[in-house]
Order: sequence, then structure tokens, then C-alpha cells
Amino acid sequence: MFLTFLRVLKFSVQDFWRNFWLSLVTVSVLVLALLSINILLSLQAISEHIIQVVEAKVDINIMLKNDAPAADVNNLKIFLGNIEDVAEVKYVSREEVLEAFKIQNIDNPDITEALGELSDNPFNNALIVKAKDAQSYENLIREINSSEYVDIIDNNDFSDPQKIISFVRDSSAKMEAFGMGLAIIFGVIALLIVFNTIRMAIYTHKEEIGVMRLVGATNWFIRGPYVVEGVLFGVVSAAITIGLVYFILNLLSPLMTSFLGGYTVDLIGYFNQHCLIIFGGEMLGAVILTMVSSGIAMRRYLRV
Amino acid sequence: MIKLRQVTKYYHPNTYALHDVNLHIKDGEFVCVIGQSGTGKTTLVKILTAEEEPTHGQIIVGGWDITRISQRDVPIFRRQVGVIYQDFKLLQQKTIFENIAFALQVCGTARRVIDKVVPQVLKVVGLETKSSRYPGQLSGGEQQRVGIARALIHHPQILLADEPTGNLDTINTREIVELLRKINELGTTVLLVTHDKDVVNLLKKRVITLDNGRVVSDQLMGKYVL
Repeated sequence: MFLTFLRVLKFSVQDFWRNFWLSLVTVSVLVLALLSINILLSLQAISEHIIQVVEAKVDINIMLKNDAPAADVNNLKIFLGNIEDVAEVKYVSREEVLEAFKIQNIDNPDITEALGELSDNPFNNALIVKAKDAQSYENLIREINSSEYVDIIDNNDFSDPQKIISFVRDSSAKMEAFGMGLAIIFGVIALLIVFNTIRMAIYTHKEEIGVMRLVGATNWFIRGPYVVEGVLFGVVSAAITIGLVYFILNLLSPLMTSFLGGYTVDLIGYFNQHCLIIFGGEMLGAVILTMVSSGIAMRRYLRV
Repeated sequence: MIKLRQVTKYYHPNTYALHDVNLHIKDGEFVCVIGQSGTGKTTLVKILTAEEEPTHGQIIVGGWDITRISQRDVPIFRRQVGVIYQDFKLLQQKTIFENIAFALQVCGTARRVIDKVVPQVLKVVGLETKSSRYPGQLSGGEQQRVGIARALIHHPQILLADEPTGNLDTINTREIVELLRKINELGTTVLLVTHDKDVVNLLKKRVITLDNGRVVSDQLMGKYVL
């Protein structure tokens, strides 16, 4: 049995090399299909990361009137804290706001100079509200504006984080749809090419197959090399894809850092962390795809 | 032993390749099957090697009821029935040794057994000195002898020869016929399908005549009569 398996393996490897150019085309298309899946995964990882960063960074700053009674401010803080969507409410005094502003603009002499010329602190006391997730901001603002504390609020200064997040989500969904389409197209092409390659291999070995039948080779022995060849296409393509993914990521890492700035994401780390599920799944998918394809070709063209 | 009971094979409802054929060939017999082109001789060989199924009837070959044989058992059955063809069916890119070894390789035989058995069978057909040559470097008769060697490699009980001398000149034809006779004398049942009158008359063995898919005569020590 082991000897038979070795011979089947030998025949399939021989065939892989004998039809080198055909094998190369087959493997290339499979690699393109797998690469587009990896691009898709990378886009997903990047957009999820950006959304996380945006969600963590965007707060609602409620500027309080300077003459607002401390009790009312405290009540507002409690009111906000009781809202389900609120993760955190923090009171910041106008002095703390001024200090934070100065530190933030320490490298900007114009602002520092302008601040020095002012006799009074231009900032208000504030409540900084952090929502549990970005989609709750709109609701939160509505609740604040309709509350009884609206009189002690000077203005609520925020940029709508949902718009930013929606933009990231929309863009990434569009890119994902495009990537998915590309992966499906490459997958179908790969299916057809593997089918054709196996069909050609069967045609090339027509005489050999005839002799095998004549002398009593088992059905497994006749079909085995084509099944194994299909598996070989899948494994080789997945292996090349893994190499290419890491090569491209290494190449793009510095570019990504400068392009995404603070939103940069460690994609190599992401792939390392999920390598088994990503590459294992891709290899399995490629092997199943090639086996199905060669199975159809054998069913049609290889009578045993 | 080969037994056919009311075997019928048709490809289209009104085109019979074999019609109600009854035959009984005993172990160790040498039988010639003759008939004009299109009388069902090749269909008979295809049915006897389980390449095609009969439409009706029962066929027993070497203890196997091949009308009921499973797909799984077909390869095992085929190892017990050697077949040679008019066009030799040799692989041109393999040497003579490799051509015969291939028949053992695909059946899972170990390399050391192959190295031992192939020279033996090459000796039987008188080609022991030409084992490293390619089919294209041999005469037609020699190529047919390679075909016979390959057919004998599994020590079959039955040897089916489908027009084995069809592509050969008179001298090579006689050599092949003598080889077949020798194989038969060693105990293998031989069924020779031919339309070569000289071969049949030279052999003086049992002759079965087919006409339009029917057995029209079956003579012991027969002659070629159509």
C-alpha cells in the first residue's frame, strides 16, 4: 500500500514537472486567488483597527457655563453616568483644560504668545463623555440636548465620530466587496484551469492509462496521480502565497506606517497570530478546489 | 475455463455485435476465433476482458462471473487474463524492460521482485538481450513478443490474442504463432482471434467461426472456412 502510494506520488510529481508551463499557469492563478483573499483579510484588519482607534479617540466635550452651580454640574455628571451607552464621564476644570491645551501646543509659539496676552482663562469647565461604541454618539447628544441640564451647557463641541466611522466602514465594505469579487473570479478561473490541466494530463497519458487498465492497475492507481496532482497544485500555491504575503507585508510595512500615521496596524503580527487559521484554511480551500476540479475532469475523461 | 451462456451484445437496438453466443472453452485449450471484419470478434475480446458488459447472458472466465463482477474486482480479474493486440500497445518512451516492469509497478509489486521476474519473462520470449532497447528499435515481431511478455508477467490462466499477427510479415507471424503454441503447451488457455487463414491452418486447433455476431461453426482440429 505504501509502495503504491509512493508510486502514485512519483507519477504525479513527474507529471507536474513534465507539463511545467501548464503547472505554472495553474499555480499562478491559484496564487492570485489566494492573494486576493489575503488582501481582503488585510483590508478587514486595517479597517477594524482604524474603527477601534477612532472609537477610542473620539469623545464628546461638554463645555459648561462658568457660572454653572457645582451641584447642577454634579447632577449632570450623574445623569450622564446613568445613560446606558456611556462608558465614562470625566470632569475637567478650566485650568486643567488650559494646561492640556498649552502642553498640546508647546511647539507652537504663536498660540503660546496669544495665550500669554490674555488676562483670563478662555476655556470653560468641561465634562468629557466617552460612549461605549461609536454608534451611540448620536443618541447620546440627543439625550443631552433634551435634558433639564441644557441651560448649564455652553456648547457641546464634538466632531461626529459616527461620520468618520461610517466613512471607514463604507470604504472598507466597498473594498471588501471588490476583493471578494476578485477572489471569486480568480477562484472560478483556477477551477477551470485545473480542470483543463488535468484533462490535458489525462489526454497526454491516454496510452499509459490504457496499458494500466490492460495489465490490471487498480482504479485508485490510475486515478491517484491526478488526484495527487490536484492536491499538489493546492499545496504549492498556498506555500507560494504564504511566502508572497510575508514578503509584500515586509515591503509595505514602512509605507503603511507613513500612510496611516497613528492608525497604523501591525499586519505581520496579525498574520502571525492567525497564521494557522488563515493559511491552513487557504491551503485546505485550495486543495478542495483543485480536488473538485480534477475530480470533475476525471469523471468526464478518465474511464477506469 | 471460459464459458459463455446466451451472450448478446448490441450497441443499438438493431445492431448486434454478438447474438446468443454459447461457448465452452476448457482449461489448457487453444482456440482460434475467426470471422470477417465486423462479425463481433473484437467485441468478444472486450467482453472477455470486462472492458464492455454484455447486454444479456452470463460469462465465466477463469472462475470469475464477469457479468456480476464489481468495479473493485475488475483489476484483479484482469491480472489473471493476459491480452495482446495487433498494435502491441507498448509505451514508446519506455525501454522493453520498463514496459514490462510497468505492468508490475502499477500493481504494487516490489522493485526487487520486478528485477527478478522481468528478465525471466524476457527469456521466455527470447528478448533477454534487448531489454534496454526502445520499442521503436525493434521489429514488429519483436514488439509483439514484448506484448506477449507483458501479458504473461502476472502468470495468467488465459491469454487472449486479438489479431496479434495482423501487422506482421510471414516469418514474424510464424514466430509469434509458435510462441503462442509454446505458451499453450505450458498450460495457459489461448484464445486467438484472427482472420489469417495460414495461421489457422498451420495450428490445426479448435476453430470457432463467427458471422454477424453468431457462432456459425465450432470444429475441433478445424480449418479456416468462411
